[in-house]
Amino acid sequence: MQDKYYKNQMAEYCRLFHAYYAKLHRYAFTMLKENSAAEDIVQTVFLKLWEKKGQLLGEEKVGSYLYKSTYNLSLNYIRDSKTRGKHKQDAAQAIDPLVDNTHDKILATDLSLRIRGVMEELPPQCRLIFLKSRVEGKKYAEIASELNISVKTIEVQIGKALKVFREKLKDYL
Amino acid sequence: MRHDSDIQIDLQLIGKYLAGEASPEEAFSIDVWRGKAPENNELFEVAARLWDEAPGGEIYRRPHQIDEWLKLKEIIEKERKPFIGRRLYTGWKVAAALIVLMGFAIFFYLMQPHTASVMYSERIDAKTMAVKDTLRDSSVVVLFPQSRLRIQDRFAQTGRKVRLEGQGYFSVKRMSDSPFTIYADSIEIIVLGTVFNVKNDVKKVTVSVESGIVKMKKNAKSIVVTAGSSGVFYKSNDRFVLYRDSLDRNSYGYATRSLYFYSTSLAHVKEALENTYGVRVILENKALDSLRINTQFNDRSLDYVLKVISASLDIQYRRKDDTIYFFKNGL
Repeated sequence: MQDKYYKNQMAEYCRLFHAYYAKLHRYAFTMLKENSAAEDIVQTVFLKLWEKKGQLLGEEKVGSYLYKSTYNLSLNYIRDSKTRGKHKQDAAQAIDPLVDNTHDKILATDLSLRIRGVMEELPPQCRLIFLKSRVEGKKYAEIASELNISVKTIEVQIGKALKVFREKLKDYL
Repeated sequence: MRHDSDIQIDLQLIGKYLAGEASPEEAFSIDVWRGKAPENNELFEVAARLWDEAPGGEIYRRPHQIDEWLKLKEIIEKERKPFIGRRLYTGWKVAAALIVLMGFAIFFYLMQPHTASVMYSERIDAKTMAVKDTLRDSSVVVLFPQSRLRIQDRFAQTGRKVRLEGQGYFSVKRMSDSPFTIYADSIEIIVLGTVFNVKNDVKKVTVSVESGIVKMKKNAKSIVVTAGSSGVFYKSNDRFVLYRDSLDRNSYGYATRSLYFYSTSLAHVKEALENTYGVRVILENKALDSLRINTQFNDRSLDYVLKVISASLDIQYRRKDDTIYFFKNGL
């Protein structure tokens, strides 16, 4: 009887995993900027879910729990990485993407090269904010403080940059 | 927390999400919105592609979901702790069966290395160079190149457990109420506060203790390794062997940057240099193998060490990238 119960639980757990895994991994990646770290975090999220499964009722609650858990564990990871002085090491070493670099150009895709081109055409503030967020990996609050502007302005400018890219590059998407 | 159907999804919010700024509510809402209509998902995918292809950090790579599921399932099935909290069982038979099951569970828990029940949420990777890091309990670890340390979720809060692949040098902060456990292959290495090196290779796990006491354990078998000694677990026959007063401090020179040569042959110096500085050393003349040297280095550059060795032994060297050639003119 217990075996049957276990099998039912595993079947439901499997369904939840396949429904949420990719979404949570993408969400964790946006915060961590590291694929392998995102994998570790989401695996932990699902192990915790297995422990808590009996306490969660309904799809809505499970979904909420998973997103919140991913968010909290990712923040903990970033905090701990910062303590160890490792986080953003790669970002700090990132080269200026707008500097002409033959090696980069060979590796870059056609779309990637065209994005670089469109970046040059963005209005100065929009371009600067996009660079700081995407290229340097800085948090909105950090950029707001550096540029003495509001976080809302940053949200608007990033949205604007994506809109410009989408319009100008529609033939390549 | 719920996903909020009133949250307006547009490129501004998608940008916020891609930049890693979305709250859990916003992220949940975006994903629900994506599932509602193909055009929603298309807008998201276009924005995500533009974001990913723009110059910047690591590019998003969709994980192998099936592989990840199999890994997760394996961990859970090893634990096999079904949730019975929401079902009520009554009757003495069930109670007796549970007691028997618990007895077995406790027995197997005590007999097995507890790797399956440990969740790891962080890791440290050393790729081409040794990496030094401080853990949350102030213990310090130096990882040899091509090694990895996985760190227990909520490390230093619920315990101090790590899993080592490769080689690591540990200086463990003493916490008498919280043992520090390293899982290496199928064995446990348990300490309270000490300095030691662990090397986990294909055939054996070697623990070299510089100070303090280390316990190596697998199921009911264990040995205690004290300062100046080494303990080796041979994987082929599942056996521990204690080598008293056999500590080779040069074996973890990569971590300490200290080298000790007392009538040491150049053949052994070669090994120590390779291990410490991550270079390749070639002795061009066979006669060089048996030359012996007496000296000690503490945190010296490779160039300095090479100059001293060549001057002491009256030999020459040349360096090409990461390869050092020792030779003697006239031989």
